[in-house]
Amino acid sequence: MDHQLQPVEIAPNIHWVGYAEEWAGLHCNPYIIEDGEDVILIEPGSIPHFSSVARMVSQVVNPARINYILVSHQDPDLCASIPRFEEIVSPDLQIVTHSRAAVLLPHYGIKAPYYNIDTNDWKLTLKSGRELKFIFTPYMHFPGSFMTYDTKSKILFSGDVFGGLSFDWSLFANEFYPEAMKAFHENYMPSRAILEHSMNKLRKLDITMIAPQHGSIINKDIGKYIDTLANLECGDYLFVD
Amino acid sequence: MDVTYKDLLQLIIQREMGIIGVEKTIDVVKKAGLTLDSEGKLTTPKPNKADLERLIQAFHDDYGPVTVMGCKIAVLRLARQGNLELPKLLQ
Repeated sequence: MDHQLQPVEIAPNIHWVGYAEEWAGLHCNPYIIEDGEDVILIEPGSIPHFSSVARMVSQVVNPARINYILVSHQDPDLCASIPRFEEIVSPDLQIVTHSRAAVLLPHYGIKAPYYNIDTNDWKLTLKSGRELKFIFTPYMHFPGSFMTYDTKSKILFSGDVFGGLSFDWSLFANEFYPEAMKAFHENYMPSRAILEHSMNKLRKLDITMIAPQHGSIINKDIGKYIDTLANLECGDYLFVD
Repeated sequence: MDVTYKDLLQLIIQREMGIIGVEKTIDVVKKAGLTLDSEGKLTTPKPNKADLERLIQAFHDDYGPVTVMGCKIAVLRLARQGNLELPKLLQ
């Protein structure tokens, strides 16, 4: 086991609060955005990771201040621990997600109300005026999947997209990360056309950093990684038959 | 497109450098009886299906089925372009 023990500030008041373990090919990358009165926990992770992520979160903020948990879709590796977090976060907690995920998430036992991005103009305005914009990336790999663009830091929190399948994990992407990324997307994304559709949306954004839920953070050559995914052939089950 | 077994082997080697890391990949390649230059390019002359089978089996045996899953789709696509037969582990 190779546990990362300390949160890492990737931008002012934005921390990686994840968990690394040598045996896992898919690493857990939750993030915290602290913005005055608002604290957003992005994709807290699975139940086995709860104690580690909660400890990391506690090193950055008082968990009782967390008033939003944001999830790009309902997969257990991203959000199964939310009911555990509900025990320690603000009673005013809202779950920020797409309405299609909001139909499925209560099956984890989540009790908090939902802030559905698709019925809120695809943005969340914090009390400070800071805006989180949501980029709709349908079918990557859930119909209601989306990414979150923080207009202040210009970080793109990309959920599963730009994730990597790697046992040679580092927090920031190295020269071999595109291969790890291809390995993940070929197996978990439905088609090149769907990837390309969403990558073209990203080309319009000024992105300083891509922070995926799995794998490594991309902090340089952003355009190169977008091009890689825009041109990646996937959807193997259709191909093989 | 003129695809050869060398192309398939090179694709796998490059992919595994992203999945398990450079040093472990080089060790497995050597274990499979293949040779690389200092830039990680395959130098074994004219590798064939048996070499491919030995390499993917070595990755599977040493680092598990994820190493196969991580390259299988790309290998399948490339092999189809060259009408190359694949070992069972990659089918």
